[in-house]
Amino acid sequence: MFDFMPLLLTGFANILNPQTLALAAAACLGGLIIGALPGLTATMGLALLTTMTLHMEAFDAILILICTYVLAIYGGSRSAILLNIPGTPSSAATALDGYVLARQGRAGEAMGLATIGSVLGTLVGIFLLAIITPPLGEFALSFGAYEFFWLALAGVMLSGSLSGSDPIKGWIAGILGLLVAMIGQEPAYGYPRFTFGFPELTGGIQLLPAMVGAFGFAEVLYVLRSKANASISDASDRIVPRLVQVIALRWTILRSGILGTFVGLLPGVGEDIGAWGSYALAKRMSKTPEEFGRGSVEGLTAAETGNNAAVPGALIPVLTLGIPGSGVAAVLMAALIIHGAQPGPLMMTTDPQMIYNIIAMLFVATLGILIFGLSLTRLMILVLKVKDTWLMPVVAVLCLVGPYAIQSSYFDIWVVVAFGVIGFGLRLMNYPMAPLVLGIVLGTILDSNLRRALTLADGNFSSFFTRPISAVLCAIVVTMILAQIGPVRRAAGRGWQAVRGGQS
Amino acid sequence: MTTPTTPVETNRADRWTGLFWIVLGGAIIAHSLGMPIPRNLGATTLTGPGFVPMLLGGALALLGGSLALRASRGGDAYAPDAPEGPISNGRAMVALVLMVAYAAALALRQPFIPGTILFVTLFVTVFNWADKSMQQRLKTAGGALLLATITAIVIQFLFEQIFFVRLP
Repeated sequence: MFDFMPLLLTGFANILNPQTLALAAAACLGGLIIGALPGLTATMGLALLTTMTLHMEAFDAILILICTYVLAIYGGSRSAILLNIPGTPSSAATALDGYVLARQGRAGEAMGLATIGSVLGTLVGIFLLAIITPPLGEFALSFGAYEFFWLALAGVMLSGSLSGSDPIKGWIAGILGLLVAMIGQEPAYGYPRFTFGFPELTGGIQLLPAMVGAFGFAEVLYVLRSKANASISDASDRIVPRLVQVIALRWTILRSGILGTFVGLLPGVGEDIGAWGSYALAKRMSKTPEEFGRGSVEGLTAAETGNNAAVPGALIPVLTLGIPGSGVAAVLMAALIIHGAQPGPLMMTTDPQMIYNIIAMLFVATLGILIFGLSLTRLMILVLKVKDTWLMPVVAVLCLVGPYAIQSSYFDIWVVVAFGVIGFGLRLMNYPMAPLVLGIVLGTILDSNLRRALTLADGNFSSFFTRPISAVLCAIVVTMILAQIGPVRRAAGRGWQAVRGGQS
Repeated sequence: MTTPTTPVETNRADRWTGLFWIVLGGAIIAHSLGMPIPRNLGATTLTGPGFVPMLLGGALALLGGSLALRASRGGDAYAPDAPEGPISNGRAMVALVLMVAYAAALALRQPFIPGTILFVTLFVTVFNWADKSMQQRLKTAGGALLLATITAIVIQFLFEQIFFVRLP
């Protein structure tokens, strides 16, 4: 039962030396600042850091990325509470009550509860990651081409449905991502698709320049549309929460931690929905739902617990299926591949130590939240006073220089610009970016597995719908499509009302 | 490019973008149909290189059609969240011009440090130019030059000495 313990202890032993701990601390601090600054998202930060850490030791590079990831998701709560601007999209739910609390002179209390919620949420997520990953990894070994095709399709569609406000636009963004993945020499017959005679396109569009463009370059343009920096709330009250207050919130934290982890586990859904889902559930279960949106500590804690619990959750499908649970996890997956790891069903068999290293890294990052979150209030207020117009040119330089560094390819600089302009245009038109990125990541998986499955089917397509896992995934896809058809949706709604009416 | 902020504007924008996706999807289908099927290697129509892109092109056209149809009926438009504070797409365009010029300089293999100093100084100065006295503008330009110099030197040092990555 405890045969994982030596692996876990080795994971911790790898971290517990002064140099590695110093790297982790620097990455935690960097992640906190990236998350807190509006305009620097976790995805952008991770994509830029991946380019910088290419030539480091794999262990150190992955440690830096994981600490940055966890702290960036947490750091978003700072600007959400103090400025009413979510530092990362996953902190939007935090701003609802956090900023109201700050305006009531309780900014310190709000930041303290956000910190404790994030710490406990991440710990719940780590625990679930540790117990779910090994059996899910073994289960995933039974997946064939049919299942991986449906999984990739369902991932892109789920992401499209849930990551924006308009599912049709989300799906269009996902298909655009899948089409981007079609560019270049296809693996089966070596035919160069959509290259139009450009030799630079033969190898395909690299994920990181595309992501830095869509998230970084586009974000700089988006942020600069706004003319003013927001004013910062006062945060001079007590920041360390009282134990009795945390104990009173225990069920909210546990519920949000579990829900956030499972939401993170869904391919492409991620931290934002983890926060909103936990917030909605906490409101539903609360004795004082009327306080939500008016400074509810329960709402704030639920949102922060949910988004941080989604981080380990989003890593579960990366490690077991090779399919990212969120946009940020997609970048991390790309980084893992660059550093020689092979995320997917075989990881539990070929490289189980990597999984336990990641668990140890997540634990260290959680300590980083606790230490930096409760101690660096003044520094973070100073950081939040930096004007966008002074920060953004530095970000722009990193966006253009970082992706070049991956392959020393001048072409990649133009990829950043092209995806930046496309991403900016799509954002203005309310198209979400997460499905686009997931589409780029999953395009090759979808293409190769669909074609392999069609070869295996040899004219008999029933296996696409009759194998148990395929049938479930197919049902999810069909349900998502039917839910967008007005008469079907209304009929389902009437049916549900009738069932509820019959029960009461 | 302007940002649609009301349902009417969103519908108008969606109608045009929906039509664009139909055209793009159609073009992708046409291009995919032209891809050869290496039958001598055992490929069939369903497993050839053009099959999956053709399906995706079809899905894009179908979704574009749904979007355009929904917009034409004037219903169910999901307007983007209203941005907070004053918004200017002109500022984004200025930033885009500066960033594309800097990207071009890097891609044309101009030296990193002088190019970066020029870009950051110009960027900060341009965006902090309005509503200020000449003295304040000179102060901003001086500060921008200092930031630009530090940025260029630190990024070069970080990439080349710490992360061992060569810069353009």
